[in-house]
Amino acid sequence: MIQENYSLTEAQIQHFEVFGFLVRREVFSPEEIKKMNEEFDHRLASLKAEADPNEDRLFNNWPNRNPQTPYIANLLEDPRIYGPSEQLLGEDCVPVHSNANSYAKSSAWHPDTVDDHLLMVKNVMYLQPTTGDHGALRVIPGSHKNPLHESLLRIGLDCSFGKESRYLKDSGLQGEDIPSYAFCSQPGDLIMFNQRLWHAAFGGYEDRRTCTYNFYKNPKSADEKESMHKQLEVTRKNIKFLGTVGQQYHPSWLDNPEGNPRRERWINWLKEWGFVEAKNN
Amino acid sequence: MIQKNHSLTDEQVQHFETFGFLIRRQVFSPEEIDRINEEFEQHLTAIMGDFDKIKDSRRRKWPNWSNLIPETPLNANLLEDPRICLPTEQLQGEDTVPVYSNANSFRQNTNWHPDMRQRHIRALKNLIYLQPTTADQGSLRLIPGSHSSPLFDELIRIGLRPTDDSEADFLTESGMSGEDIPAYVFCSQPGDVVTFSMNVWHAAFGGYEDRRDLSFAYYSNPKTDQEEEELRAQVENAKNISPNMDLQDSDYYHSWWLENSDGSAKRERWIKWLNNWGFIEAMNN
Repeated sequence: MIQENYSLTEAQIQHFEVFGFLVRREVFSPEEIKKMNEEFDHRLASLKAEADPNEDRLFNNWPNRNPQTPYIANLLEDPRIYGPSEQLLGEDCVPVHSNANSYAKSSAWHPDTVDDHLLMVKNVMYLQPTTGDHGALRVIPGSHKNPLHESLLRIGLDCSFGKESRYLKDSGLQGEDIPSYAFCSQPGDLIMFNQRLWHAAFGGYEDRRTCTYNFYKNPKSADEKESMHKQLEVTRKNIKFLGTVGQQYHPSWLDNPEGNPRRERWINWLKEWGFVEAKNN
Repeated sequence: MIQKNHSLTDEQVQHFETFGFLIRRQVFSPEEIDRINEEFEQHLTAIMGDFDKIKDSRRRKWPNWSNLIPETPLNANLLEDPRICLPTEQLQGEDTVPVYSNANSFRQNTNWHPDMRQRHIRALKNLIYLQPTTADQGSLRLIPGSHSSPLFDELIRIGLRPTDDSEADFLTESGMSGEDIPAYVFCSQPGDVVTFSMNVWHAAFGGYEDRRDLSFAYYSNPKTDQEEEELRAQVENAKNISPNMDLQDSDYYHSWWLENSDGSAKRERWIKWLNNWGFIEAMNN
């Protein structure tokens, strides 16, 4: 139910706040998805050609803000992406992270952050159809909030950074058995989720594709600012772990040749908070 | 993963506490399910004539009756089956008591709701579906973690529960259907059992004529004043339940069941408790 000006309805905002995520169907047309997949193909091929064959990467992933994928890069400034994100996070929110991912397998259960002072929204587009047993994102509704969020940590569900889940091992359950909602999708659909939400994907396969657009709320309180500083340090570690190829903020994007005032504001914020330095080095 | 003594593992207990429910697969054998279905079938056939004649809008819109009757002895005894009562006692304490044991032949969907709004008294329901279920054919859907606040309260606040026969406010305002609400879908085979906190929000869609389940609801023995107060409210509520059921002039807690002819110590304790708290009077009048 997308309104013509791409703004979310009150009910959609309620859905996001209560369940920690929101599904929007057919936000992008088949023609647009085709263009995205073409850019994705080219960049993936060039990345593979450039890659060190001895390097053991978790999965192929690269920042969207690069001159080889201009259409995908510009989606950050597409009102279908930034508009709803600004509604949920405030007009001064900033896209800190935007990657293309070509996974080779499933993604085990994890939240992107456990910090409850940060409000971060990830927009994810799957570039292929997904089903419950074929790579669909699964989310545990309401797990962005305590007590559910922390209960899942406490029982040992977390598989972040490749670690084995203590809960799955002890219970004999598979990741697929954990009760959740499966976002079965067609290319063009989009899911936005609070990055504290627990999520996973099963039925992974070679070259399972997503494009992600992560917006952070501009921190206001002392706690929020402290958490944002911590997030910066987490970012430095994650780049190495994830094996992201290339600079998150390509110089051509930072040049902002069209003088887009929104991008200008983003760039200033990213520089002030140290993300440009942290993610580009 | 049922242990031989039917007790739950620590992880199963954690699962129930975290998500508000627990699935156990193939707890009952196909032969047992056949016998349960035979009893169900015979009693349903016996009451259908009367059910179809009654045109009372206050009545439940599907045939439902107490299992605690001599016509369905196997189903009546399931309350005392260790596969049902032992895990329940593990989750709610050894002094937990079965208050309801129902058979339902649904005819339509079940909209989103929690069974109980009281938050201090603990109560859980064990459900056995007597036919296979899938997402679009009657599966129980549960919102994981919705037995706890804030999720429990937020679902009330947004208006997910219909107030009467009309659609839930949230569904009307959002343009969503009940099936769109994010949830875990309990696709099941006969013999599987789901045990859920009666605070968990649940629903079922893809309903059809004679969608069958047996439910066994156990309440914890109240310990605090608040729990006692909530239990008394449940007793008041119970007075409105049996008149809406298809009891055929029989009592909900049938004298045959109350006689406890086998002298089961557990049942004896249950009966005393039900009597002391007023459930027998409330449900049998």
